[in-house]
Amino acid sequence: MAGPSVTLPATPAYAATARLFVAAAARHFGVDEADVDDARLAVSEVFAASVASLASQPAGGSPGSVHVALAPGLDGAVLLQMAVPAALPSSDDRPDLPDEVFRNDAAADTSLRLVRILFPDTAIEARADGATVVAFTVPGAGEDGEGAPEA
Amino acid sequence: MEEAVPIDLLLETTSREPWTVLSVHGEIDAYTSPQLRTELRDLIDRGSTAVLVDLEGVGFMDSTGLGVLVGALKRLREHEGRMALVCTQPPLLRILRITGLDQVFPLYESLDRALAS
Repeated sequence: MAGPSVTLPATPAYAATARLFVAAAARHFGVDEADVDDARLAVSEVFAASVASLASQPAGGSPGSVHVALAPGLDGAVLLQMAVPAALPSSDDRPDLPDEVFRNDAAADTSLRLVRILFPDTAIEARADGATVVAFTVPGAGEDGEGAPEA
Repeated sequence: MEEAVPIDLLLETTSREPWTVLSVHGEIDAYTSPQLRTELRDLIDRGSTAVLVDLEGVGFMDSTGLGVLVGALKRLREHEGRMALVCTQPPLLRILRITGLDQVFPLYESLDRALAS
């Protein structure tokens, strides 16, 4: 992607850094503040899902890296892509979004559901090396935030 | 590699009968939520049955934080206890509403309102 990017260790301490980076880059592209908040939340959720997935695997070795990149898209939108060093449920495994609220303890599944609610075009793709790429579009300034539920 | 930006939580507990008030400052995510979980567990283990979590000093919370709050609520309910939140921060209200947890936790606009209820 042709735009700002950052690579961080896939450990919980770096989730805040990923959020700071995404917020600054999204503002640079002129994204509305409400959508900046949603992008921060989505990035944190993907980070959390990756950490949870890695924690469930046998210990040993480096935790790997999380790569976050943003690039300008159509009509002022911003494409956000994250590559995480963990297997996450792919788009093909996508469960139907719950009609009712989900009130259970947070888990990796909850994190990804939230991302899909915030950004309905979210695509999750498993790579051959065991990593997962999560990508979605953040609406540009003045867009309706189509699909994003009202708070 | 860039330097991490560790943002610890600041947690302060006070007794405001009938509530035990836990005031939280910082950001709640995968890194900091274990700190919040430990504090809430300790409060419940020490016998608190009415816990009011003041989130006014929290600028960000993701689902790991929600999981901690829900877990604490479940433990409290096992002891016939209750939990409420003080929260007016729009990003926090948004995630509470998306997940339906605004229907689970009583929400107050301020500590004073919660204490007066």
